Amino acid sequence: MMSAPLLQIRNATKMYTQRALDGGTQQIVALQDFNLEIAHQPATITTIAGESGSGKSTLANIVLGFTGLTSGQIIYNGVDMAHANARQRLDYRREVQAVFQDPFGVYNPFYRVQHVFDMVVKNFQLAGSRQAARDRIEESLNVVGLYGEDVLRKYPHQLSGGQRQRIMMARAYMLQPRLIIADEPVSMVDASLRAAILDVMMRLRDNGISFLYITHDLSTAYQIGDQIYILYQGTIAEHGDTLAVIDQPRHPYVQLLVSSVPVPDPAVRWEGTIELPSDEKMRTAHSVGCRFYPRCPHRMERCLQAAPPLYPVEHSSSHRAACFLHDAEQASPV
Amino acid sequence: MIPETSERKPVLEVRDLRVYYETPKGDVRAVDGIDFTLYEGEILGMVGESGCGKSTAAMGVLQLIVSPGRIVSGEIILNGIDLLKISEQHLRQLRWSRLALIPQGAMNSLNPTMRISQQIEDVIREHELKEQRLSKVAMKARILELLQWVGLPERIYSMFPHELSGGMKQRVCIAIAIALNPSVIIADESTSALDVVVQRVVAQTMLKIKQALGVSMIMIGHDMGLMAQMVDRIVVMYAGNIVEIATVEHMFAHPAHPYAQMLIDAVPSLRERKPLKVTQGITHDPRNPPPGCIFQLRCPFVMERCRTEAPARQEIRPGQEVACHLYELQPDGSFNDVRTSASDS
Repeated sequence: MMSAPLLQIRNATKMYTQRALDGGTQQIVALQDFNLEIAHQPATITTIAGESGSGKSTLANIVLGFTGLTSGQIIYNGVDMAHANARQRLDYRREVQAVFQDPFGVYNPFYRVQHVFDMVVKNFQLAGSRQAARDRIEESLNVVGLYGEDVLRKYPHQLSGGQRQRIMMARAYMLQPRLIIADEPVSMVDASLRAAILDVMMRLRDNGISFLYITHDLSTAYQIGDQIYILYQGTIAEHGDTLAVIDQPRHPYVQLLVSSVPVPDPAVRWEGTIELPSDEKMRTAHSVGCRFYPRCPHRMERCLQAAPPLYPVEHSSSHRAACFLHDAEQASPV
Repeated sequence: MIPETSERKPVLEVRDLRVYYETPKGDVRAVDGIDFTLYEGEILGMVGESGCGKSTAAMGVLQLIVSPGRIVSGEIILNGIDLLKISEQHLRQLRWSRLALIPQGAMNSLNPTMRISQQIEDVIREHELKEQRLSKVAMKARILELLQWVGLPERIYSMFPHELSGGMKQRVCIAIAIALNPSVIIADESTSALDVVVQRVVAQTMLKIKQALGVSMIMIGHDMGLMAQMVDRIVVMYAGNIVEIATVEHMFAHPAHPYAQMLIDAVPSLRERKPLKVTQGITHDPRNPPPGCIFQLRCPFVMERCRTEAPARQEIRPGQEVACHLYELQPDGSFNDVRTSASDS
C-alpha cells in the first residue's frame, strides 16, 4: 500500500450525449484517456490548464465525484473509488477538499462567516468542545493570514473576494485534507489580491497538502506549479515540469498558447498575427487523428490517421508531448 | 506612437464627472470627480480593481446609467458637444454614430432569436440619419463589409448567435460597434471571458480597426498584459478616482502612484519565477471615503499629510500625471520623490 500514489486517474474518459435537432444523438468527448498521478510525498501543486471546453472542469467534477466516468478509474490510496465502501468514501470526502471559482456564489449571504466553519465542525465532528472548535477555527484562519475577530462575525458581502477565497482555503485546511481541488480559485479575484491566495496555496503545499490547480491562466501556474498538464479538447497535449513545459513548449498548440499570453511589457508585442479556422466544430467520439490538425502549422499526413500518443521530449522522462513531431526523436513511443 | 501634445486633437473630454448610486445608507460615490481626455486615434486603457468605478465611468460617458445611479455633475464633451446638455433625441443620434460600445460580456449581449444580419441591421436602422437611409442592397453590402472587417466569413450573415463560438460573437459585437463609423468606441472588458488564443485574435481585430478607421477607443479591463499589448495610455482608477494617467511605456517602466505600483507588481510573469508580493488591506466604505487621499488605508507609504489633504493630480514628467503627495514640485520645476529625498538627507 505504501507504494500506491495518493491519487491515480487511469484512462479516464467522459462523454456527454448531445441530442441533435434532427432527433439523432451524438457523443461529445469531454475527456479522453486521461492519466494522472499525484504522489503521497512530497506534496505538489499539479496544474491542469487549457482553454474553455478543454475538459479541465470536467476533470475537477470527476475527481470530486460530481459526475461519473464513462470509462476509466479514479484510484485514491490504492482504492478504486467506484468500489469503495462507506468508510472509504467518507475518508475521501474529508481528505479531498475543493475551492471553487466564484468567491461570491459559494457563500450563503444570510449567514455570517462563522457559520461556514460551524457546519464543518459539526458535520465532521472535528472538536469535542466549544473551546476546541474555536481554537481549531482560529488556527485554520491564521494559516491563511486572517484572524477570527476580523472575519467570523462578518457577512460575506463585507469581505473582499480575496478574503472570501482565503476563508474557503481555511475551511478546507481545517479538515486536514491530503488534496485540494482548486478550480480557477483566482480568476474572479482582483489581480492585486491574487498573490495572497497563491501564497496560501504554496504554504499549504509546504505543509503537506497537494493541490490539483485547475486554471486557464498559465502565468499563475508558472509562478507556483510543480507539474503541469495542458489539455486540448479533452486530451493531454503536453505534460511535465511546469518550468520546462512553459519555457520550452513542444506541442504546437502549447507553443501557440504560450506565445499568445500577452506580455506585460509594452516593448514586447505579439509577433505576427494568427487566424482561427473558420469552422470550429464540436468534437465527436468518432473523430480520428490529432485534434489540433485543423489549426496546426506543422500538420502531416499521418496526423489524420491516428491520434498521437504522448512521446517523451528529448531525454526527459517526465516531459511529454502528444505530437508526432516528437516521434522522430525516439524510435518508439513509451 | 502618440504624436506630440501640440498635434493631438482631443475627441472626448471628461471633466469632473461624478456618478453616485443611491443606497438607504447614503450615496455610493462610484465615480467621484474624474477628468481625462481621449485623443484622436489613441487607445486609452482604464484599469483598476472591481468596484473602482471604471465601468460606471464608461456608462457615465454613454449616459447609460440606470437608477439607482445618477450623474451628479460633470461635463462630457464629444467633438465639442457637451453630452450632458443636449436633448435625449440628439443624444440618441450621437450614441451609435459617434460613440459606440462593445459591452461587457459582449458574447451574451446578442439576441438569441435574431440572425446576425438582423442584429447588425437593427443597430444601423435605429441610429442612421433619415437622409442617409441605406437601401436593402446597400445594407446587405454594408453588413458583409463589416463582417469582413472583423475577419468573419460571409456565412455568418444568416447564422444565429448560438452557432458561433465566443470569439466569433465577440467579433460580431465589434462589427456592430463600428457599423456607423463612430469616432469613439468604449470596450468594456471586451476580451476578458475569452481564451488567450482567441483573445489575441480579437485584440488584433481591434488594433486593425483602430489603425484602419482612425477611431479612438477606451478599453476597460484589468489584464495588465493585454493593456501593455494594446493601449497607448493608461488611466488607473481607485475607489472612484483617477490616481494616475501615463503613457503605457511610463506606466510599465516606472509607475508612480503606490497603487499603480502594486498593480504592476501583481502581474504574474511567464518569463521568470518571482517571489509573490502579498498586499493587504481592504478598500474603505465607498459611501464614506476618508478625508485626504483616497488610497491612505492601503498605502504602504502613507504620511501624515495624506490623512487630511487630498493630493491634486500633477504632471511629474511629460506623459505621466499622478495624484500623490510622494511627488513634490521642486523650485526648478522638476519633481522629487519624497521617499528618495528622505533617504538622501
